[in-house]
Amino acid sequence: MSIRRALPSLTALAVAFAASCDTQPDYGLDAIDSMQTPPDDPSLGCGVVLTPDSNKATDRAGCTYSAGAHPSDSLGIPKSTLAQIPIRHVIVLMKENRSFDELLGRLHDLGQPDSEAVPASYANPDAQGNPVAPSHAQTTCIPFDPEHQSAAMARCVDGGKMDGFVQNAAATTASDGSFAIQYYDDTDLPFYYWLASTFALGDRDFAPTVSGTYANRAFSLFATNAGVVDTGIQYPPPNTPSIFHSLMNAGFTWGAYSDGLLLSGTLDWAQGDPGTHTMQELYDALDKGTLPNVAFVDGRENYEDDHPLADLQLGEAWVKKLYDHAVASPQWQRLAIVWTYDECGAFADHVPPPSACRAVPSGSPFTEMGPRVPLVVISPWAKRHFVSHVVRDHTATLRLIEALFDLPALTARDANSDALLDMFDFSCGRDLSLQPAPAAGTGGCPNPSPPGTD
Amino acid sequence: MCASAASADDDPQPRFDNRIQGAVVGASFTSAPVGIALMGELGGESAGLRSFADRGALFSWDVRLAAKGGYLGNQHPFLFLIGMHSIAWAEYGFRFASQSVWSPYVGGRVGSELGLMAHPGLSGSAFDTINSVDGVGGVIAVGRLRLDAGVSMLDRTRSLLLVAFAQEELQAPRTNTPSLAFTQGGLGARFDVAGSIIAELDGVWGVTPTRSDALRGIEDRTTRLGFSGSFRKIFGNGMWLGATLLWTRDTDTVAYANGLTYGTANPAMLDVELFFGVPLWRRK
Repeated sequence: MSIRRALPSLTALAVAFAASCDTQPDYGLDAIDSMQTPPDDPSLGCGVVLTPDSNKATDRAGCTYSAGAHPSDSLGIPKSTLAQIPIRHVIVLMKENRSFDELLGRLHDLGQPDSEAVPASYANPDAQGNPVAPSHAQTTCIPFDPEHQSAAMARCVDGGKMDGFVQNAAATTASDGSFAIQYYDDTDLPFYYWLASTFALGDRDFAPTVSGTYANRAFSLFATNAGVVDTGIQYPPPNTPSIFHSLMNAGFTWGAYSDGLLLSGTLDWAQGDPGTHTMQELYDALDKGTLPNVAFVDGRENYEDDHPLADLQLGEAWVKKLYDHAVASPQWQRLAIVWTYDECGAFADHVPPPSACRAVPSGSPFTEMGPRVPLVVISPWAKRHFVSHVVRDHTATLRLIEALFDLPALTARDANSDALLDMFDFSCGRDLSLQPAPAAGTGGCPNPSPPGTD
Repeated sequence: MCASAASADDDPQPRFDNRIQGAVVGASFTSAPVGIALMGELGGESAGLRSFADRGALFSWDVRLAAKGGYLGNQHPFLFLIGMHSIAWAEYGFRFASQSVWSPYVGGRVGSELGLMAHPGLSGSAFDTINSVDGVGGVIAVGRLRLDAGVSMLDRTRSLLLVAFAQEELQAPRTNTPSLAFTQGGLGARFDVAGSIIAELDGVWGVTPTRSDALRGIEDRTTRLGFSGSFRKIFGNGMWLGATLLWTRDTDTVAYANGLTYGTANPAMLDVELFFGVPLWRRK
């Protein structure tokens, strides 16, 4: 046999193997497409009283609880009480790459004085070492996307000094980096400011780790980064226990909704994969009252999701559309929307991230949270015009879902997390009516990018 | 010469002897669950098949040790890795009808794969602070023990082994992957033309014991399906051109305490390598 005769065969064999080489992880969730959402219990309503247990909070701060811990144990609220909470549907609306200070830092002076203000002394040095103070952004479509994976984010946080954002932006974009410490206000984003001021706002909500999209979003689904540190072409091992599995195990449903990258690409899912849906299907589900128990919703990348170079006002209008469907939904009285951001995107925030519990003893050793991100709970049962100062990360949203549906903790991170319950008021006799919401802002971006560009 | 034709020596039947031995330079493409890697390597290899005991026994082996380096595309910028990698196995088997061309055959094989791929400036214990490199970088240690049974065809210039095998494969823990022990079965074929060709093809399927996660009430069992092939063309001057191909996919059956079971699957791993060998000395 000559090498000339053998090579074509080998090449054909290699091509055949390559063609059969499926690079997409399969999370084994096919059953979700045939599951039915349990009917909501019509007897659920107001009157649930949630009494915080300070001892349990101390235990959680000490990382006492492990994977498998039930919310009734770690929150100190009886299972029977949690079962009476009227919320049976949660929309996790996770947007991209904005810090608290950038988006809502001005809220303290614009109608919500209980939210943390940006200190007047806060500044970041520029590349020459000259201080750059926060200033009002002149456009809602910043033409730069600063580096924001783990190494860059560590430089931004700078050991808690929170002074590396401008220099990082200058070093990784064709700019002086000053845009990284700019902010927006209610003239730019009137609907966002209205949401944050009207409903329950958290001003101590941090990204789960000092890195980018994939690691932080992995925490929001698995309560661990599962070996993923930087956004790339790597995904959590598909046998990692997730909130999807927990919900299905207990007979509850979920869906992932987007017209673009589902879950922002974190699991490499595509439309047609189990549990995936378009945004129109979400609007239809809201209109008809057929929401799954938990919906994970993402905008089109760099267009509706607020990720630079997106026009924030376009992303705001996209949220307004979702909100309008939600408040008109027959399931509104059973609904909570958690609007938050996956990570700060290397936009400045002045609050040093605290430490958190190590998720998995043998897993990645990340115990430092990332910079703050906005988090607002939108629900008829959300406390109105309220600010929570409880320290937490994305696993608090997981813990809320686990508390509502009596699911065990996935790792020690969510086991020891708060569950956002201080942001709700289920007492009877409250005025649950809503003032009309303002429209999203306009005119902030002279040349918006078309969808999907970066 | 390193690659020799059959020789008579002292055996009543001429001894079959097909081997390569020398320096190799190679390049590989790997598509793994942790990313895509392009690597180059420089090292040495000895591989071959010989008959002994008047063609009543066969000894086959492949030992390759190389310095290896390249990039893993699991993040931006791509991760540079450098270190060493070795694959080594040896099999001794018996031909029960030694005087016949075709004979029943049984053999035993021990093998290992060892790799130590580091990123300059990153300590070995800090691989958990970067994207997972499991299976491509860090420490790779796999041991295999295999029993073969099948048929051997052996004439003056050609050897063909067709076997079914049972194998135990032990995979040491990696940064983000626990240790795994597979009990496997498979089919293998090896074809040698003395002084000209070494070709192998294996298919293997196996499962691990069930691993229990008591905290979360989960039982997990991993199944591995794999195919590997290698081909070496030996030239008259003793040089050789080789190609290896490896495809594996791990799937997990994850059972939760409440009875629901999920069938998950990792992305497949595909490794294609081309290499060129130069004999360092010639046998007389």
